[in-house]
Amino acid sequence: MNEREEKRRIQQALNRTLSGLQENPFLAQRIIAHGKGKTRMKKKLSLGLIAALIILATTTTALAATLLPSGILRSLFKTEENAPQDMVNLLNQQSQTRQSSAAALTLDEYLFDGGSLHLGLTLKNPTDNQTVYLIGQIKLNGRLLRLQEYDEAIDTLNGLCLGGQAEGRALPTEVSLYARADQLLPDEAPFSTPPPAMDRALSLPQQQPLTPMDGAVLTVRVDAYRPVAEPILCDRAYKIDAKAVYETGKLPVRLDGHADLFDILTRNDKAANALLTDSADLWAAAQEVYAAAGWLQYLETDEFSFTIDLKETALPQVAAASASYQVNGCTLTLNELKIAHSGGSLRGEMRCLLPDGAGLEDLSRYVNFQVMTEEAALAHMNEQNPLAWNYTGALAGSAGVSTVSEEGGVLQVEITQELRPVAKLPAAVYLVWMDDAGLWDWQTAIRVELQ
Amino acid sequence: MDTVQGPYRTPEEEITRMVESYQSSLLRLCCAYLRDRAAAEDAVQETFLKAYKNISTLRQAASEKAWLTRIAVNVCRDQKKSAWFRYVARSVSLDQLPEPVGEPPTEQDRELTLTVLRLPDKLREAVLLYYYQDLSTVEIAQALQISQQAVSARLARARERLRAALEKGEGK
Repeated sequence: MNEREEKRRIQQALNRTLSGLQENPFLAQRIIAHGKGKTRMKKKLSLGLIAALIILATTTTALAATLLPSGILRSLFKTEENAPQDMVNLLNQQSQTRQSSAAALTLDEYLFDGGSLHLGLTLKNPTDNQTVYLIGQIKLNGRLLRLQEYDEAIDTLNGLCLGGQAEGRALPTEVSLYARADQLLPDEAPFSTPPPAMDRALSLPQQQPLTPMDGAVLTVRVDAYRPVAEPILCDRAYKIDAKAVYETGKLPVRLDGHADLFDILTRNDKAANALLTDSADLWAAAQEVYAAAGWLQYLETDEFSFTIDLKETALPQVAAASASYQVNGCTLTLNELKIAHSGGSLRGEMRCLLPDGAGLEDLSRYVNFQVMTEEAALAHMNEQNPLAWNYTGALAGSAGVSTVSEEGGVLQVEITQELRPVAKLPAAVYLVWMDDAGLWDWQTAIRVELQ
Repeated sequence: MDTVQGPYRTPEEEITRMVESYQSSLLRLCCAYLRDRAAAEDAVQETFLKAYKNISTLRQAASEKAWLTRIAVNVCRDQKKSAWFRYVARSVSLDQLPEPVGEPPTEQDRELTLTVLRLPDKLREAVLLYYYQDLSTVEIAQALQISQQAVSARLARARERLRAALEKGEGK
């Protein structure tokens, strides 16, 4: 079969099989209306382990950002309607605004669920000048918060690259942000050196959990910069294997000389298995990069303070009894698995007899499992809902690894996993492993009952 | 190669024409890429929004289709990186797709589609851009930020995996 025939066959197969996908006849109007700031688009909020954010605000062709009735509830439960009343009751929506000459920051809402503090913020550019903002430090009573999740709204909207010349200018003059913090960091440690690549002795620092307190002072640090070389706004770029042709030790730079924000902020290549726990690290790393590249002229730093109350609360939860399970030649011991509406946690240990030739590099094979509610797992196993998933069933992706050791061919991994909030407390969850092709292996799934 | 429309239209006319011309193929591309219909709809919406916001840069682009496809690929990649997406397990099946319109797919069509959907991500995106979107290896290399050689290597590996499914429908 020649190439032209191969193309014809594949196009025909996909066109015929996917021909039932319906176009939206109003899409063009919606795009135009949204582009002119007249309407809000239906769009998922994207959460991620990014603990620093750049916002480039321009006034030339501004796109009005949309404020949701509750960005926090939508972040947690996708829609406000899904939110359980227990969580709605905890929401505080008394907004507070602070402004400097370079930035205006509003705390739109916050929610303390007993363990995590969820923040909804809006940052605006009050000036007519193009300004780049960097938010990297959020403190509670002077102590740095560990941000578990951070909204990537600007990132998903635009895909920022830095360097070169301006290519696109349709950016928001205001941006809504979501952040979740769950611990206070022990010290405000400045960025020093990145963790060694693929460190064999990964560890999580002991941190102080958030506890109820009235009249706490939340401080958000905002750095304002003026673009010097006019940051380029381009489609998202990726560092793929050897195509990151230049590397400073912290920052991969693409062939065209631009760096990708994703690479700057997460440094995945430096710590493939490590959890990002220190927002100060990321903030300082990004600052180093910008300063070194000379892309931005520093304008000012503002510390905006808000007073918030972290009330005592006790949300209902379900939990599993401690137990051990055999899977894929490994023994998984669950020491803790508990879930509340606000989320949950899984703590355990995996011991695996490694096959010949396998090493720690194969770690992800043993810990890459997903926790799913029973309802979602059953739907998947019966293939009732494979292509129109409603995002409500899966509680966590791959496991967080705290320590790893290997002795006599036995791999031992301690696992800590944060579980997503749930609207409905599940009666059971499934732990499902992913195979090499990226598909879930239902044959080895483990069912764990919760009470 | 498709031609870039002249600079005489307004951005609103341009985006309306693009949505009419490419919505369907981008929806299928994103659905095959993401293996998720709802996510694909979001991705297409996001793609055209980005295109509208950056429509001035289109005039320097060699190919409108390649330009849009590149945006779509990056939007899909963003979606896959998002936490929401990572939390969702995806089995690959065609059962939940809406009833096909027009000529119904043959068993070979369905098998070939499933084989494409089951390809590992890197191979799948190369196949979709080359075979389905009809982009050149140069355009794919630009869209994926990889070398032309890497594109060719991925296509060769994908072709190996697709061979059986392709040969089944040969001559039909």
